[in-house]
Amino acid sequence: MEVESSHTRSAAVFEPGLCKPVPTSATSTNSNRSVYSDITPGQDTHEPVDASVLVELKGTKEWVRRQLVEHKATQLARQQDVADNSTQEEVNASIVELQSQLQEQSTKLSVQELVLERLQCGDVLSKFLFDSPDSERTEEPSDKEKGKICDMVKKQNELVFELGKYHKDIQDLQENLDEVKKKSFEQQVRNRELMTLLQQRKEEQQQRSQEDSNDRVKMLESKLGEAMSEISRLQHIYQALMVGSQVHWAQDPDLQELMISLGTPPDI
Amino acid sequence: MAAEQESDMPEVLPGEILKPFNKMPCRDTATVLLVGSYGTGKQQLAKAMVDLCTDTGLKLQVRTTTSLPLPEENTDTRPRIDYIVFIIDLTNRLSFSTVKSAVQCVDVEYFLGRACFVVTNAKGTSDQCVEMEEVSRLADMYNTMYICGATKEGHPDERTTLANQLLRLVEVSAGRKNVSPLLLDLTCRQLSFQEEQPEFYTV
Repeated sequence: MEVESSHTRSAAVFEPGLCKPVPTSATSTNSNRSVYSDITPGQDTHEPVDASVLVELKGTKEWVRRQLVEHKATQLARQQDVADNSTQEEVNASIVELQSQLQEQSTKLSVQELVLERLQCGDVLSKFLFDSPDSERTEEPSDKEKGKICDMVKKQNELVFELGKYHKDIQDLQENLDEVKKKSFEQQVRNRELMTLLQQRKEEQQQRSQEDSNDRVKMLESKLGEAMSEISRLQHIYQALMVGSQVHWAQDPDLQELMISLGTPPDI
Repeated sequence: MAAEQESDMPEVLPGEILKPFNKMPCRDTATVLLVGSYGTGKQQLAKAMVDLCTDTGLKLQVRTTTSLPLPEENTDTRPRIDYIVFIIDLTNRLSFSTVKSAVQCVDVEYFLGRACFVVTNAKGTSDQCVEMEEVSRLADMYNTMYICGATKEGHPDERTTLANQLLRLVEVSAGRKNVSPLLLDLTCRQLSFQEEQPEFYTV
């Protein structure tokens, strides 16, 4: 068994700036953190070091909290007994329910965290831009810094608006797609019904044509039989007529041929 | 390990089963175990994952093995295994049987978002001796996802993409992201049954 490991530089900090509670996405926290490290006034050289240490500690705290939650959840799961006599379907149904509950709770928590983050950001931003200088701060933030922040806020607004538009477009497209899928499904169901009907009709038709042909043959055969018996009756009648008329049919070749043909039974 | 019939499979002792929660986790550290027979490209994949990690601040340790259970002598020094990757090569029957026997030595908790199957040589069916259906049946049995990719030298981009995907999963299972592995597993596969689609008749 072989082992490979990576060598890292000093740990890159993903974690948020001072004013945010929980890291949710690395990109947003990185960009916001850079704003504060550039613009936050009145900082001396020791503060950035303290900030990174605090951030590291916060990250560690969150990591420990997540590990604790996971371990507790595992422990709870191990303590629960699944009834042995439950069927596969019951187990699957309970798994589906639990999965949907987990998804719901996670979504709620994420939304709450996002809302809290935005409120805190907004609060700090408004304090930074609009509050009058107090005894703790030595100087007011310069117009240049304010202008920078205002531009960023404007850009954020534009991006959010665009995002909203895209979201709405995607929602509309999704609705259309769902409708089309539903229609296609209904169409497939109708097609299937029609195909079964068609197949049934075809089978019926085949059956009928077979029966018909049987009946027809029998009818034709009976007609043929009748015709044959009629012919033989007529033959006998002619024969009797010729014999009864005392004509010398043997002397005439035509009559002779006729007599002989009347004697042969009809054959097809 | 030679290919064995299921009836000849040696019984796995409880102590040999790999468990995710029997050791303490480490901050900013993750350990991945790649399980696969010889020739499945474990070394190249391990190198790709380690190379991608150098900028992220994560101390990644990649361990490779050709079979499970792991040897007892390293049990004390071995760190907690955060993620297990089972590598199946569709052109190598032995790799599939190795994985089939290895999954029995892994605790069920790994199959809740801390393990996955990687399928290589999935393109081109001429050389394949393992059916994709068999792999998908195995993945369904263990309720775990499988990723198709390439691990060998001829496909560096695909290998990097695969390493990226695995790294994201490893970060989640190591607790680096604000998402639990179970939640991620939930989004990958759900046990909801969709209405059966009607078949087309041909007349």
